[in-house]
Amino acid sequence: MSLPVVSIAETKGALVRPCPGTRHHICCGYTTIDLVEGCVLSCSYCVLKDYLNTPGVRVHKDMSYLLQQVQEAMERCNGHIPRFGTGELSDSLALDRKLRLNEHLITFFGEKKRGLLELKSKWASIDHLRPFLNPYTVISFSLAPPRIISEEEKRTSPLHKRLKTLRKAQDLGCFVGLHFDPIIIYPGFEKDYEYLIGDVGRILDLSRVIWVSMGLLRFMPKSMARFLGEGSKNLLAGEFTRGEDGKYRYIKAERVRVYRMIHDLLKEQEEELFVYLCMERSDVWEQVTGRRLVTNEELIRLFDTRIQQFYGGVL
Amino acid sequence: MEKIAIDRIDIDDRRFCVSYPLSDELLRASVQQYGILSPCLLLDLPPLVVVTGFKRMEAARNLGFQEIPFLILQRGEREALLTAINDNMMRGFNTVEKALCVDKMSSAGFSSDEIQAMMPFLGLQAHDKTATLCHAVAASEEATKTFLLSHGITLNGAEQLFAFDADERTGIISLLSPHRLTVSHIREILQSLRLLTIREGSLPLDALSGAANVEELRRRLKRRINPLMTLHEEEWVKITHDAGFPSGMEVRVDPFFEKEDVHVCLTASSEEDVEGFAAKLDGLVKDGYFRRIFELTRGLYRGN
Repeated sequence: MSLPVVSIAETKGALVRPCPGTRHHICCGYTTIDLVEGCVLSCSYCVLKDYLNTPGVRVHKDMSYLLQQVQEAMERCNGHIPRFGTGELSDSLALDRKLRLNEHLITFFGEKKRGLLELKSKWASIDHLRPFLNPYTVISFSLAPPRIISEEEKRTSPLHKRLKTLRKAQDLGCFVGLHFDPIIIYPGFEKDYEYLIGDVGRILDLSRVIWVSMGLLRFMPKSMARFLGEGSKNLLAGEFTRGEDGKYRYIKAERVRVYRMIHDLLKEQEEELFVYLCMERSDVWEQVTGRRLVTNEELIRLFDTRIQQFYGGVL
Repeated sequence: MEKIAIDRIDIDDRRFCVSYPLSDELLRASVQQYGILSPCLLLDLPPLVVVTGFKRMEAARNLGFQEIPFLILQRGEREALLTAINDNMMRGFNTVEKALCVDKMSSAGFSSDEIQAMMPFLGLQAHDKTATLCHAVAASEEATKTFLLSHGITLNGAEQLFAFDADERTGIISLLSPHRLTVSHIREILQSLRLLTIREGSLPLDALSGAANVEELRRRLKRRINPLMTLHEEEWVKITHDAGFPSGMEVRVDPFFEKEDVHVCLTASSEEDVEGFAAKLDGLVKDGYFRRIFELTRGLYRGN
């Protein structure tokens, strides 16, 4: 397994964009910063393998151009607290110790105090960011049971390192986010999530977890052929159907069952946790959380409320 | 035309043979009627080796001919193979023949680049992966080759079949052979079988064999791959049966139970019809039929 080639790309066009979302599914209204396109971690289920046209990693280094776009996006965002992230087309931290790009963004958000930057990762390395960290950066990690990390996320940091790093971020004064995404259904996964969430509760200060997302495995038809070719036992264990957006998803009855289970496990740890579903249907939201959301706007408002709880009137 | 005794030719040497299958009823009938009109090309080796004309030779032997018209080719083996491929290219190659061309080029010592340069002329994509598949097809058992040809499966389609090992392929071919199958049926069934093999660790052929027809086979596969979805479908059938929706009332749900909405369509031609539908709907709601339907569409049904 060779590492993808990292190249510097000419910085042009829109690099700061609203998350494209997906039809008939509730989207959180996140704004993506495509600082890096492509990922060296190469997780087996990664949508980028079938989404990006080029196999390597492209890095945009023209920070002033990029920050100008972030500034403009902040100004466009009326009435809501804008949330930005670099983890849509890449891992936010995997290459950062070498590239040193996040420090500019972190500093920018700390100075502007107009929105939040989320660094979303599976790579437990934040020490190089210590001098720059401020409360306007949320450090987030995708979390999965050790079996999935060792079999499907082979180049990433192990679970204990991710949790330790999250705790370190909390101790440095940052709020943290947790992403249970993708949740993969395989024989015995229920018990593994019980242990995982138990570990989360023991290691982290859950009162300083700003948000938790849940998203069950979903993928494009192209990926199905890849999973079959690679014999991906974990990824193909569940029952799938094609959603209205054309992607494969676990059938709804399974999604409701699994989301409820994990939602309840999280709430047992900390009743006040803000748990949201990534790209789910309105009725699934209702079955899982008891909350009926019809539009993206309603979820964005929930985020605003949550952020205000954490930041008061500062944002 | 000069003729040569068949027993002076090494007819078992098939290093240049890119024809499959060799038996051809139409050609045999033609040879019987008119004899061999085009000479076979033989490579000047001791003993002589056929370069082109394997099918004619086969027909002549079956018909008891003692000799055939011929021309001698005085070239090296690589050029002889290219001659065989080019000579046959005009008539068009089937899937197995394309695989044979690539495989024989490799055996004749052509480099990977040389083989890939030939592949587009054969209608193949010039990839190592395709070349590897060609070797597998060329080396496969007769039953597999016959299956590919009888169902018109392209080399792309063959990739699915060759994801299985030889024993599994044999089992799959016996499973599918009794049925009338389209290429899309085969694609779907092979994908399902691959999925089951990955999930269960082996092919559950015993549980799938004996299906009366292809629909029955697909149902069995679906039940195994999507047990919960199958239960949803069975519950939906049961609800519609038990509810006895009257003529003019159509109740529809998303076939994959993904969309929450339930569509109730009424076709009425009088006020009395509407009154009748209202009473029926009221009864169906009170009897819990719509609750059961919404359990299906909201992802709350677990099959018990």
